[in-house]
Amino acid sequence: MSTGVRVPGPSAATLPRPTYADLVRSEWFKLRSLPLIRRLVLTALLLAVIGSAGFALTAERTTGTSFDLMSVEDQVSVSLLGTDLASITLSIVAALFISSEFSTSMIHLTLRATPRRVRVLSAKLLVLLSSTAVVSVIATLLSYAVGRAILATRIPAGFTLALEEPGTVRTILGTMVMPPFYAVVAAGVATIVRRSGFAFAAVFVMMSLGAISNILPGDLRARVAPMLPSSALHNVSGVSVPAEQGYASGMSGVVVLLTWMAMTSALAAWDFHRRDA
Amino acid sequence: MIRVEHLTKRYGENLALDDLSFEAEPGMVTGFLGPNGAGKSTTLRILTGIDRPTSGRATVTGRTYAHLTSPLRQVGALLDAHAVQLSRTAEDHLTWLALAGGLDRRRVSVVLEQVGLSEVADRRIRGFSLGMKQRLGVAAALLGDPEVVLLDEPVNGLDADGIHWVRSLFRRLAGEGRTVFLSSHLMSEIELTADSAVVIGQGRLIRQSTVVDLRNAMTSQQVRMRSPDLTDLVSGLERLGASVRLEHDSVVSEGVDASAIGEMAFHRGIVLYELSPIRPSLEEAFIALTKDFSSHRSGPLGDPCSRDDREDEA
Repeated sequence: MSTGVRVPGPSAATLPRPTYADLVRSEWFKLRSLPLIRRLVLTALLLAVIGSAGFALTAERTTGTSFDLMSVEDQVSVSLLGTDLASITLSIVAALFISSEFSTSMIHLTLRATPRRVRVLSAKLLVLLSSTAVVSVIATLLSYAVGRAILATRIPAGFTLALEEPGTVRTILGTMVMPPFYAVVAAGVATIVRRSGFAFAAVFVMMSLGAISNILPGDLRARVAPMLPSSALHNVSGVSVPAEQGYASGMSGVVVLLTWMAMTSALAAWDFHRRDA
Repeated sequence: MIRVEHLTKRYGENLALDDLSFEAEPGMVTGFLGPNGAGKSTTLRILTGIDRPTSGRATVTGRTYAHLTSPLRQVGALLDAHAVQLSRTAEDHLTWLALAGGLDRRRVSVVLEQVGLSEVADRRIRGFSLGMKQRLGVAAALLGDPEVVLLDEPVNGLDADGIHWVRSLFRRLAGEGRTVFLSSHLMSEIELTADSAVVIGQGRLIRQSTVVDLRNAMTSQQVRMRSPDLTDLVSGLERLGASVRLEHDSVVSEGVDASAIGEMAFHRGIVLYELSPIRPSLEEAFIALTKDFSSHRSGPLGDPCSRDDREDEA
């Protein structure tokens, strides 16, 4: 060190260490300060309303079943279909939030502030999980309110979509799980592939695994089906029936969803930690 | 203080850094020089923890980047002014960084003022010129009031005023006792800004010295003369032991200084129209020093491909 030179700042030992709360606040600020993300969140809410209205108005025609003959769970499900569209939009938000940092190389700046990568990823996932959960609650309630209002006009007598009906609350709560679940998975995939397009594609494939699994032989399909995210979400919200492919208890649905989230997050953390940014 | 010890980095088959060692001291501006592809950016990426070395160690303030207590307060870096999300405002960009570093948010307006971007703080970065992005990058580097400042090609994109400003800033930061380490592929830039220089080529250290020593070591004693008595002059020069060559209407000698030649001409009654020492620019010295280490070289008239490569890295 040169003599007679003042070294600025306090010594490393007395410097305040940034906390995990600082990191979470930073990631939250990052998320809400991107105009595209704000627009997509509003789009998600709008799609929840429009989607539910659209499905409620056309469900009898598209399913070939009149509302009178549908189970209460099916009626609630139809009223909540707008949440599926919100979920797709929020998955895009999550993938974009992660991948745009890689594509612009801004991740380097993030890692200069917080060199511990797993900590960075966990803060990002926590922010995405909590913010998409809040949006999901609003989107699902909007979806339900619009769907219910429209169905009330289509089923004049004995309308049974009230919250007091058995299963309705569970279906609503189960549906609320879907957007944050897919958002966290999308964020994990985006961390690994580092490109928005690939991340969207991977999540859409995951959403379609139920349909894709139909190409499997019958007994294999029966074993695989309960482990698919779409089946697990149906099991959690209680809309699946025993005769259905992939039917299992609500608790097993919860375990399947948590396993998917844990696996993609762990894989993303391992990859992020291992590779040069 | 920056210390790089036996740093090696491989990207597959490509050896980017090969047992590189050097130091940069506090209170000085240290230039980090090398042709394109020499390994400057790789070294800076390892110093800031973005890439991991294959072997060896790079420390700032005595620790590897991953082990710094408060990274933004200890090291400020500008590696790529384009590494920002364009739809955010300048203020928001610095705010998330301040939050992540556990810094006081009031530092944001302080550094924006310092780099002259206060007026455009609420404008989206998308509308910024390269020079403004460069200033924003400097603001991000200074946000934590760090002890060590690392900058990769910091004058790129700046206008004349910006270049003058950034050079004064480096001098001031070094004057405050900070370690200022800046890379450039232009020797002339380092000559104007730095006290010492680390020169690398093909991932290896070529030389580390003060800028003055670097120039002295690289320049040879060449003198240009014009005279109506060329034959006498050449014979006198040869007697002094100089090697001589003719260039158009002048003679260029090497190996004897101008004062000895002046005295020789006076004693032999030789008329001189010109007697001028040739001091190669530091740029020429640098090109001579690194010519064996360049991954690509210009042809005699300048190879446009090479120029494009340079701009790409810039």
